[in-house]
Amino acid sequence: MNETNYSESNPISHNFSIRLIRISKIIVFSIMFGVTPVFANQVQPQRTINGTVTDDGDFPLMGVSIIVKGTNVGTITNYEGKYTLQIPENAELLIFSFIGMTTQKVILGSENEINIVMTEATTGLDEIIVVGYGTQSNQKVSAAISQVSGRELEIAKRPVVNTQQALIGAIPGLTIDQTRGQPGAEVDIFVRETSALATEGRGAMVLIDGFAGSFSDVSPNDIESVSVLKDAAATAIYGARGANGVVLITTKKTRRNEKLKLTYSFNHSSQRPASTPQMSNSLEFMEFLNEANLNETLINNPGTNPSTVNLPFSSEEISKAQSGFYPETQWLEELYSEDAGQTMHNLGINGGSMKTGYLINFSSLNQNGLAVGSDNLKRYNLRVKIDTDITEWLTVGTNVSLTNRDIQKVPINEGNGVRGRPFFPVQLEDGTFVNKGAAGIDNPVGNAQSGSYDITKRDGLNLQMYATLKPIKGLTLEQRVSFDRTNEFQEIWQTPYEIALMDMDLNVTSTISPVAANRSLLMRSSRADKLNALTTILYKYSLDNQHNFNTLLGFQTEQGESIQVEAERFNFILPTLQDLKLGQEINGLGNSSDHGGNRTTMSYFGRLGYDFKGKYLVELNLRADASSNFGPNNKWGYFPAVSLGWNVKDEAFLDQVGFIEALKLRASWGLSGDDGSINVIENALFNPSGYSLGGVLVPTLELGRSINPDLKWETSEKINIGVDFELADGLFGLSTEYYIDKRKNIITELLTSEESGLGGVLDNVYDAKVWGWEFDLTHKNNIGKFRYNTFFNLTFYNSEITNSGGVSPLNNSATNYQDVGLPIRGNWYGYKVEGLFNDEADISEWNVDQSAVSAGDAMGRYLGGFKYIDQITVDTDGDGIPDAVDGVINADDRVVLRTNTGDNFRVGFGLGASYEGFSLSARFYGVLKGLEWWRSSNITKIFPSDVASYTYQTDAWRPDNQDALFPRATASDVLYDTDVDYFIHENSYIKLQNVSLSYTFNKNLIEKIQSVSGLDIYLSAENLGVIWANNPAYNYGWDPELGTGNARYPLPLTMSVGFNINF
Amino acid sequence: MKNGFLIISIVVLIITTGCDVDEFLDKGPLDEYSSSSVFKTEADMIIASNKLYTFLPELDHKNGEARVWVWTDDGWNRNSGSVADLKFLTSDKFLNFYRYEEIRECNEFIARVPGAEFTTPEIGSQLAAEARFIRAMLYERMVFIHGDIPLVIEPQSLDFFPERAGQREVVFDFILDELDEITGILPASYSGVDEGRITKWAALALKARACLNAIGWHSNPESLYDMAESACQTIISQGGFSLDSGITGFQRLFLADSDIGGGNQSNGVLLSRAYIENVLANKHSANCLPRGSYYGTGEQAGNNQAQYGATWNIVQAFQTINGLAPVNDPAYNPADPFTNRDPRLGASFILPGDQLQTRGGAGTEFYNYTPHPKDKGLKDDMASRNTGMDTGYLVRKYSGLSIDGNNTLTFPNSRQGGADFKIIRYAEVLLMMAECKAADNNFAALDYINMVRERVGMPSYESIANVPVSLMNGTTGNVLIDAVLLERRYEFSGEAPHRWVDIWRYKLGTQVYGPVEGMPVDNKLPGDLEGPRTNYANTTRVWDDKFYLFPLPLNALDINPNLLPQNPGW
Repeated sequence: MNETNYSESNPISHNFSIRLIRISKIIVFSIMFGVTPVFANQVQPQRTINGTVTDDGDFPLMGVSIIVKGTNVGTITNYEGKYTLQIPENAELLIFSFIGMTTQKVILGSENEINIVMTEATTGLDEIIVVGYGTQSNQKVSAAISQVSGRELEIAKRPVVNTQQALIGAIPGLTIDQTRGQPGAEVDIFVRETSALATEGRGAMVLIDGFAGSFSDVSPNDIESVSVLKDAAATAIYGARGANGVVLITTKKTRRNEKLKLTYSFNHSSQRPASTPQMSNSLEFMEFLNEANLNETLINNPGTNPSTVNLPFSSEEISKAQSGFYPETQWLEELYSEDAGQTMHNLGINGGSMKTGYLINFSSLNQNGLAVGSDNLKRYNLRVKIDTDITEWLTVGTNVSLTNRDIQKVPINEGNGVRGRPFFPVQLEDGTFVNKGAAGIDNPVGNAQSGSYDITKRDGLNLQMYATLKPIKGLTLEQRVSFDRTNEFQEIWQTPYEIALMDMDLNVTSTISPVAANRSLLMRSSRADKLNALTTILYKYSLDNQHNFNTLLGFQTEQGESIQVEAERFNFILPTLQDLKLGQEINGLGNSSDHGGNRTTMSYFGRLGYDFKGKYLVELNLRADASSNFGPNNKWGYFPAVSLGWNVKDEAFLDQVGFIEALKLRASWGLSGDDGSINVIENALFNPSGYSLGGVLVPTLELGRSINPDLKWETSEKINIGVDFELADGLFGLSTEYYIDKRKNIITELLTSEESGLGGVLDNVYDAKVWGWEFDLTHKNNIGKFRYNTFFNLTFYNSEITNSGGVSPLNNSATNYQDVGLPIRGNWYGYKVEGLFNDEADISEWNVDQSAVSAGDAMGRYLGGFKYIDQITVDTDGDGIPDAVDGVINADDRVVLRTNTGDNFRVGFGLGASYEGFSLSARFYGVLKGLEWWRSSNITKIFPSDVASYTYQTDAWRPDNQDALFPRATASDVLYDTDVDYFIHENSYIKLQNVSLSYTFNKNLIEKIQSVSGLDIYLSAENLGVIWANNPAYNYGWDPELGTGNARYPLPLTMSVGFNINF
Repeated sequence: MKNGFLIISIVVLIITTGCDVDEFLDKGPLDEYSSSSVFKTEADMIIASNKLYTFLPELDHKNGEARVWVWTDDGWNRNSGSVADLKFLTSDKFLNFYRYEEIRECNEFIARVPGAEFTTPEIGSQLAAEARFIRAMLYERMVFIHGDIPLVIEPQSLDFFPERAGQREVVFDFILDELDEITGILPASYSGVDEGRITKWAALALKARACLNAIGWHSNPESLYDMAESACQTIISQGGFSLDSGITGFQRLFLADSDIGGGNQSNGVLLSRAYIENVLANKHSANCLPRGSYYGTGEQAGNNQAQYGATWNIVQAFQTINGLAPVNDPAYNPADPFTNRDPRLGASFILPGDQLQTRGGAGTEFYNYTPHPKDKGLKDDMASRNTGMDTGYLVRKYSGLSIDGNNTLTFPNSRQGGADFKIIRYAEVLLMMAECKAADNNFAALDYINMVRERVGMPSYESIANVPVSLMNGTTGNVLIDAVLLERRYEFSGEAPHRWVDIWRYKLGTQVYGPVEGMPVDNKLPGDLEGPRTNYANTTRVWDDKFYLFPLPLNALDINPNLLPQNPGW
């Protein structure tokens, strides 16, 4: 049998047995009282209905129950999905139902052949939910779990290269931020709010078929379902690693008793940048820089005669710019100008005999990047699953996954590196690259195209083997072993190229030839192994069919080790051959090796579930965890949880309310942990060549990070309340969660005094409370042959630091001020300003000494500069409460400017409609109530090191432009403190994620083609970009999802065409 | 079914006996030492003491010693923006001299000495003395720049939040006590691989420096001059140091040739920070050299336009070879102003007309450095606001240019220089001695100044009347001391913070600052003393007396309120 059989329900046999017991009871009852069972002796007129039931992938469904409404007349489909049923002539309605599929009701007409295509249930009590170490029917789930299937994500019809991308906006409570569009860029997934500032290592734990793995190693096409465990009842079973939520990826299953079936999908896309920021043209830039230079002098030395100030651009140069002399190079557009194709193939083979099932899934992806040069991702995935019943009580199986992933990157300049001046062309006519006009990085296009590369080749192997024993009824023992190996080989080749320097007349002033010494090659190889052993014992017992027990006991160990070596050489004579031995050693120190991690964990866990008739649900979970990372004083941790559920719909008083399909109330409490940041070993850093004495290199040794031996894992106490409600036929569904997560012992870098010299020390410093709402709404309806559905989900959370262990503030950085009573993150700290000085009267009225934070004359005040607000900081009456201002702007005047600035209000929604073979769908996601603070140097330093300006930066204060994005421009680095609330801008947006149009060919038409059983074709566009945003920079081409100021690798807009064919 | 139970039994057996739990869970990192397993033996401790040497002052215009020189009337840095304009903001990282992380490493080392095993106890106490020297040196700079600072001399725990009120004298006295004590422990010299470690002479020189640096704030300056004089006297009479002779000797000080192990080791260096080309390199040359001459490996073309340089103020202040102010020397030729001057001018700065090798020229192709825009030289060399050097004069010391007349780079990769930074030179000891004598109005001061002058071929000052006072820019009121300060400008320009220190301790701020001027506007007369000068920096610096105490780093104050209040005016 397939691998979920160790789980709570083997739904088919389960239901069978109930039904058989019922029938036998009726028979016994009938015999005892001499009553004839109704179906035993039919006298009404009959007719025969037959047909085939398949899923929408054309697989015949075995065991589908077909019942005539209002009677006991019914049957079950056979292994070919076929059925035959004698029904009374006056029967009106047939009900087709199957676990995990939407129940279908068919009004009987004159036809006697009724073929049904069943679709997977999006909600509904019958859905099988993947939970920690098992599965449950949705009806019996009392924890907060969201599950989405690959089918619902429409992965087969979308050009998504990774699963995270498909999941954005699909599940409430999931946070997935795309930061770059570079092929192979990794994306983290966060469940609900994380407890600490640094989110690194605090993403959700990801398990693939039960064992820790990486999203990047799974082909989206492999995915059957993704299950997100959110509350403690769901995650406590993962103990010290469950607190950040768990994402369970279940891959497609083998099938039994089914002839071989082959599926092939193809998809080809073309990509272009969704948007790129606008840069100013020659004239705009020259005038702006001249203006800024003039301003600088006038602010620093008031009274200077403007005509005596040296300006960078002469009037001749400006008139040249006006005459169109300069090429007006838009460097970002030049860099991201590749016609980037993307091709995906997927081949699936699936089938099985009565005793053995098998599956082979192969997919390949070739994605080119938007940047010029060889910038691409190639990925091959192969998954093979075989399972077989050796005896009636013993099943063994394997699940093997092979991944090969090659990421080739070219040097990509971001930040100032890509801010080339518009006067210079990218290349001369002979192909020589031209210096973009700034020191440092000569030419971003040249860098990307010149042959330098960074290639990472990664091979992943995951071997899973398992044996399932069912020695007695209800008892399942399972032993699983998973071995995981990742080999990575990285090669970084840097090669210089010829570069021409031009003057403002566009004459080449000099050319710089590449120097062999500048060619370098670095090779790095690493290997990581993980061995996991998992033993589970599952026992199910039902008393009188009313009291159902379900217990799980488990034991798990994990061992991990990794190693890495690297070597580097330079001074390669030729730019074309890359082999280490052709290069020169760097100081004889080019080689280094590095043993990485070495970690073990050991865990016991158990679950006890009980329900009364499926109506009242209780579940207890407990896990004990030990880890080599924990200090000796805190070696074992214990994580309990309990949850309750009530299927209200099953109560007698709702029995007659037919339009309600489901109504369930849920509540849970529990503890789970987060051990991600723990490290209790104080290290000493050794450097074999750290200093020189006597003219020779000598080694050095120093204390490394400061540590805290009592450090322990964070504990998260979670309470979750949920309601699931569904109207009949899926007309309307609503699932709501409210949660409170009390985190204790949150690990953070304790701010030690500078004078202690300890630097940041990890400690269990503060406690916090996180709470939030999640809503998931669905609506689905048919109007004749026109079917449509919509979904909408909304996530909101908030947090508050409840205890800081006496430290105040916990963190004083401008972007992350932390203190009791404030949210965990997103608190901005700095100066409040009351706009800008618009005229001399403004300056003289503003009688505050700003000279400590603003470099203007007249006490730091100048036209177009900030009016800093003097905060009340002086205590004049000695009552300990400040009550007066001091007339000086200095560090005391900083306040918390805004809290909760993070993206903690997210929505996702979508629409789908189908008519006959056509279907159309659209998906959206967005962030509401977001803010952005333009304080980083990329934004406020408008002219660093000879770069050009972005167009939005030219919106600076001028006498005739007083309502500007920036204060008065100055040529040197800014003359004011940048931590001002003036730079806080709204940053909410809605993006159109996907639009797909597909056509499924009519079966009757297809079947004429030899052995083809299904075909659909589609057009799909992914990442269509912003449809609404309120960030002022958005109007200048900035993607609000990627942020303003630093032009990052843009997200690709992918237009795609593809087909799926079944044989 | 019997088989089933058998297998269950086997599984249970594997679970229960499969591994020893404690052993299974006892795993440490494979790639680093645990601190509990090292710092135990003499060998460990020697290696650990090596690390402390990396806390010695660095040669760097952003974090190191050169950074303060660019704020003086003699220097300029186009990249430190408003800071070079004396527009200091409290958040400037340039103002942060707070080095308690290094203090902690020293304290930890000193605390571990008693617990480690040494072949003789003397080795332990000598290693500790070296650590105490480095700690004292760190404190000396901090107490000078920031005033009251907490004295931390032992390892601390997480809850350490010290106060600082009234600590300036406490820290200062601690520095002097420590230096006195370790002078008796430290050897006079080393050999072999120990060469470059701290000697008793370095400790004495640091003591003299500390005393003279405290002149501006200490309640008893006379005692400071006396202590400094006695320390200098001991070095001069017993140390066996000598000045490197001739201008060549002076120039060599800034090349790796004069380093320990450099083949031609200078006898005029008391303390240096080691650099080794390409390995432990100083990246100073990239900051000194104009881009036109650069050909490094770092980036494609190198982000290395010259970062900092000198002002007209210092260039014109160098005497003619006759010991006169240029304006007073009829031999001075404004059209050829850099010949027949104190040779330290050309040895300290890259001046217009100097021959440099071209970018990529690998020592075979040369061009003339012509920063004046009217001369239409290389665009990269041209003086202008923020696009090249603002003043036209660049720093040559430690830039790696050879002194054989060819000005080739002495190392192939200009960002990876290997010349040691000479932290304390014998010339400084002589000039400190001169200053102590001068403070006493003792004309013997001139003898020590003359030693420094004569060795580069400058005429000696026969009497105070020979000192060209017009070149001094600011006066302490004591012309003898002024003469010492003038000589320090010549000797240490572009290399070390001495000029800044002098402005601070004698409170010359309001006297010395003005417009940041570069080359004369008239490009035909590069030494034009009469006409206007360029001011591409567009800056006139204005002094504020609050600069005499720099603010404590904002971060430190935010975390530790016991440090409040901030220094006055900030």
